[in-house]
Amino acid sequence: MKRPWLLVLPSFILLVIVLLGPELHGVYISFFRDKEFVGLRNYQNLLKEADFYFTLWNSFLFTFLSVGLELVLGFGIALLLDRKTRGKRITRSLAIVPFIVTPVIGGFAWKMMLDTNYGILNYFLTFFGFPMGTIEWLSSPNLAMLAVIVADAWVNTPFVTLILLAGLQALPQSPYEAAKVDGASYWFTFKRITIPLLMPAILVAVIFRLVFAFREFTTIWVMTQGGPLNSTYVLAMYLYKNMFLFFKDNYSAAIGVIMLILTFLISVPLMVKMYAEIKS
Amino acid sequence: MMGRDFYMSSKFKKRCISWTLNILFVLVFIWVLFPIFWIVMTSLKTRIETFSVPPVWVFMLTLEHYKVLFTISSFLKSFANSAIIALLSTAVIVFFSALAGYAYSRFDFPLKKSSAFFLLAVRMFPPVVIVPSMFGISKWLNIYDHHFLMILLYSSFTISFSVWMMKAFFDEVSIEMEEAAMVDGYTRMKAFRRVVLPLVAPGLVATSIFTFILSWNEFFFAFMFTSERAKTAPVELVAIVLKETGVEWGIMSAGASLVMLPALIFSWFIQKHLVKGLAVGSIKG
Repeated sequence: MKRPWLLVLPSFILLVIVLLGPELHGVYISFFRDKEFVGLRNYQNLLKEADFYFTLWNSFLFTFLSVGLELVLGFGIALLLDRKTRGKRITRSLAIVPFIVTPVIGGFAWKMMLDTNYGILNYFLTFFGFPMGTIEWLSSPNLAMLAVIVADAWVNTPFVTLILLAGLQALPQSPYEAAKVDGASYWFTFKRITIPLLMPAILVAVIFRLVFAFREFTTIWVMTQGGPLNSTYVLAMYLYKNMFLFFKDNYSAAIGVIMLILTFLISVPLMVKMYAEIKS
Repeated sequence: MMGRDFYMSSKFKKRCISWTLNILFVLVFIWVLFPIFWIVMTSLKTRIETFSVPPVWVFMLTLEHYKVLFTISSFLKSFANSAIIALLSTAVIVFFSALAGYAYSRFDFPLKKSSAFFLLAVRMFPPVVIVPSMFGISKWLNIYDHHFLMILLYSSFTISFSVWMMKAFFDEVSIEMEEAAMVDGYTRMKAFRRVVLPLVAPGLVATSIFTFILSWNEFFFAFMFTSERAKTAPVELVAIVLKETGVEWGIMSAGASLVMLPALIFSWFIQKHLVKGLAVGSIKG
């Protein structure tokens, strides 16, 4: 084959035109105000806006709490599934259902289940002494963030579970056999053998999830639309509102650049590792 | 009989552990599937039943909500839009990623490693960033709220993953196949089409279904870039959900059930490949 790179070219042209180009263009226009060059003015305005800090804080809170939850749940479920020897295919395909069904449906499902007056969760809580209508999951600023985190965890834990499960099943047997001979307890082997060996998979899962949770929009939008009282207002929504409600495209571009930088910082460790692996 | 020693024995401990694990397993099962189950159940209840507290568990199935949905033309149209966009995106992706995957698998060429890295790195950047710019560009090119724009967007979102997936599938086909064919007089491309492609057919199927699911379910960009002409099913569903201020659970559940149906059906077929692909991806880093 004379020019193999021709086969790769269409994909690249697509990426450059649709993703890279607009990204760079977005960075470019963030330094303008309606065709007029204003340097860092948009960024200065950004730092003066209370909403910016609000959304920044909410985004970080949401990201780290939901990924933390997903890691714990995902790990637990992976360990559980690792033991199952029968019906593996079925359990696995069922386990990824929340992932397949995606944020839109997930958001709607939880919105319905958490409804204050008719939701099934509140119904279950009546057995614990909370009458219907008292716990307002999606209307109280304090609980809304929690609700959204749980819903997001529901959607995305399967992703973590699958990666960790794959890692678990690829683990070598010999360290465990040696540990058993030495009489090590379950927790000891878990802490000293399983976790270190699983670190690559854990890192992959966590960093991917951090990157995706940081830009989350859909689940939160469907459930609370950023409310109540902006308690679930995140960066992606801030960009959306500035772009489509206020039509401030330069300002939104600046927000986008900030998100880009923050995402980059989060994902740098993974990218370095990926690059090293590809080189080898 | 069962003396004190039994309860101290490791056999009892093992039984306890095994029982707890089984219970945990069932709980996980419920956690994972209940919301979906609940949506489908709600979609089949009568309107009154959807509001009843305590909730109704056994009831006569009714399709009234689905019937209502079929009368809402905007809903039907959004399904058609989603189908068109998802199918065409998938076609584009399969074509591009099969070619690129083959190239990465078989050949060496300048910038091969950096381009592979670029392909993956692009995925790391939040697509949100392209929104302000894309809004202006799409309006200027008059493709705002048009299927073509969505197809372009979705294709580029999934291309990285698809190329990687196809490469992995091509890697599994031994190169001797094409070499044998070329010895018999086939050109490289002919060998590709006649010999290799059929062998990676499962991979093509998996990639296309994966892309289809992603394109069908996508909300964020569809929400921002479609309006009257090209509105997709998820956007329409969310519009219905947010409009009714949480009253018409039956209709909303029916809509949600319909929207999630294609993804669930297709995923059932490729769940084997999906898991394998994710596993390969994660171990490779």
